Amino acid sequence: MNIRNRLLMFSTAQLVVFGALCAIAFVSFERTVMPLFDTLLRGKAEWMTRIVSSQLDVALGADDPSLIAAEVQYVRDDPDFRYVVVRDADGNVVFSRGTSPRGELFGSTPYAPTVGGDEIRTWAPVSLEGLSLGSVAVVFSTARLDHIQTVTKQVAIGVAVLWVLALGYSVLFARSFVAPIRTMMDFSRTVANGSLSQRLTILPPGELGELRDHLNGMTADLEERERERKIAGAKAEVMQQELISVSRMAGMAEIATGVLHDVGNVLNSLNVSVSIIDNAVRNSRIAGFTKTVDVFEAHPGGLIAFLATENGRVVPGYLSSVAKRLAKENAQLLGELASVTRNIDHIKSIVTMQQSYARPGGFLELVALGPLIDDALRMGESSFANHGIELVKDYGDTETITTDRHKLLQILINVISNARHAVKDVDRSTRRITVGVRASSEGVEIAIADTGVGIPPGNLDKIFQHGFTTKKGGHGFGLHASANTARELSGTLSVASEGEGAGATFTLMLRAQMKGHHELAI
Amino acid sequence: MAFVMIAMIVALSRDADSSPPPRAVVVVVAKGSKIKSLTRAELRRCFSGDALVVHHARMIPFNSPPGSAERIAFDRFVLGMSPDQVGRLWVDRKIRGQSPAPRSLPSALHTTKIVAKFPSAISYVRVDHITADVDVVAIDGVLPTSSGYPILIEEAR
Repeated sequence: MNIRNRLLMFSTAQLVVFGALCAIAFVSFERTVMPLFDTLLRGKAEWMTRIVSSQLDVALGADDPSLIAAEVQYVRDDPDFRYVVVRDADGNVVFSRGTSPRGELFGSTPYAPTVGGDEIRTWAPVSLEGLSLGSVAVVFSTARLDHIQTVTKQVAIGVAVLWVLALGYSVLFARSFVAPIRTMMDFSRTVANGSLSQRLTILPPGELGELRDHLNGMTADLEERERERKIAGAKAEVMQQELISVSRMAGMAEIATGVLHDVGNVLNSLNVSVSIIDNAVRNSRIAGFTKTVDVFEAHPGGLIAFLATENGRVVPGYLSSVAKRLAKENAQLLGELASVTRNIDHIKSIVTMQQSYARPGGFLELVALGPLIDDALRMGESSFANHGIELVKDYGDTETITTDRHKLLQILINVISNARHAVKDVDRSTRRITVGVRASSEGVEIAIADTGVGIPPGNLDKIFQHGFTTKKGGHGFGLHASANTARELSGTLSVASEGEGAGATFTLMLRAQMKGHHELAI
Repeated sequence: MAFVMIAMIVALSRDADSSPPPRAVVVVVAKGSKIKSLTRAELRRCFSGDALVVHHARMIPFNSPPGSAERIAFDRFVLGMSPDQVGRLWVDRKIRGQSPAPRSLPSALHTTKIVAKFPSAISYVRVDHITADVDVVAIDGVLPTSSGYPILIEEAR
């Protein structure tokens, strides 16, 4: 039941009770009080007539008008008095006062009041010791009683009119009271739906007016805050885009650094191979052999003649030795060339892999986590070997999820690089990085745990803040960008560490299905 | 008035040895009544609530107003009571449900008129209030004009 109906019921119930009480009072008055007044008036007429008749005996017996007047005076003093007449035994009027009514006054039964019109009349004989002296008749007006009855009816009608007016007022009051509330409710719904520019224009009385002002004030505040929020949101969006761009650039730089590092390592190997080849070529016996050939050609009679000489007899042995040496050099050069070829292929694969990740992100594809993590590890595998870092892989049942390959690789390279740097500062025998993959209730968790320097408790809350770093030459950008990128992937990047020297574990949680990205069909 | 007084004096002079004393209270009845004389006992019975029938007619007593000199003198002689004793007498009779006190008439004029009008009425007035419509009754055979008339208003001390 709404407020209006409840108010109506409440006020109507009060009015009904009030009306019922008035009706009961009116009926009770009409049925009990008014008859009582009528009875009292009749009784008064009867008994006053009896009394005056009993007191008129002497006055009539003495034929004393003044005494008669004195005896009836109290009758005349009555507020309802209208007429009194005294007759002697012969029926002659000896005294009368008041307004004579019409009709016979002495025709009815003595002492019995007779009601007619607006009067009550009665009469009584006057006698003394059995001797009739005359009679007296008294007429009382019922005007006061009639007036009471008239006033009662007027009051009843007035109360009824007031009751109807009160009922109408209660209806109007309920409407006037509830209408502003309903308007405010509608206004609240409108505001809740986002229409903050609207204002209440109703003019309710009293506290409702204050409520209207408060609602308008609150809506104005909301509108102002919404405007500020939009401005801040736009700024944040711009900053986010800038951050993404910088992050992307940083990620690309990180990848490029990794690639260049690996390529550099390969180039070192390649350089060694080239140096070996160069030395082999430079120190080859081919030069001595050429001089030997020149000696053969310069000897008169040629090679056959030279072979017949003393020096010529050692030539076959020398040639055999040179052949063996050249075969050995050839084998060595072939080996180095094969190494050069492998190194060039490695560089090519690194570049190819980098190129494959360098394409624009934002597209989802099915990604096998194991190979992707291996690629991230491969970017710095030479560093692992050079620094004696033990690498433990615990992929379990390798998961396949739909995500952005480039962004995920960017995160993994950053975190693995961070772990690699963390373990470089601890004892060589304890350097270990463990990469684990496991399915969780919300998706997939990739945990990269290291046995590095660890993170003090005070730094755990700041580790992902922009610009925070503990590395020499660090920018404090990699983990911050990684955390943001994780959020772009609808995931989270968290860290746990027991403190300094206890290592650290970075956990990347990826939801099974990302939202808000375009999926690239594979 | 002069005629009335002359008539009264003439009437009294028939049996009187002399003119009545002005303080005398006389018992009166209607003119022509057969009652000429009453004893004190008859008067006491009549004015103390008991019926007094004379010549087959029941006498109706009327008193003077309470506290009047005539009433005091009459009650003292007839009932032998002071005004207070008379008041207690009638209260006692009212409590016992006996006959009430005789009606009191407002004045001597009303008394003489009532007595004159009703043949069985009996009352008393001062001697100078007697009219020609009433007759004076001797008490124990003594008229007001006679010496030794018993009902006299006491002189103020």
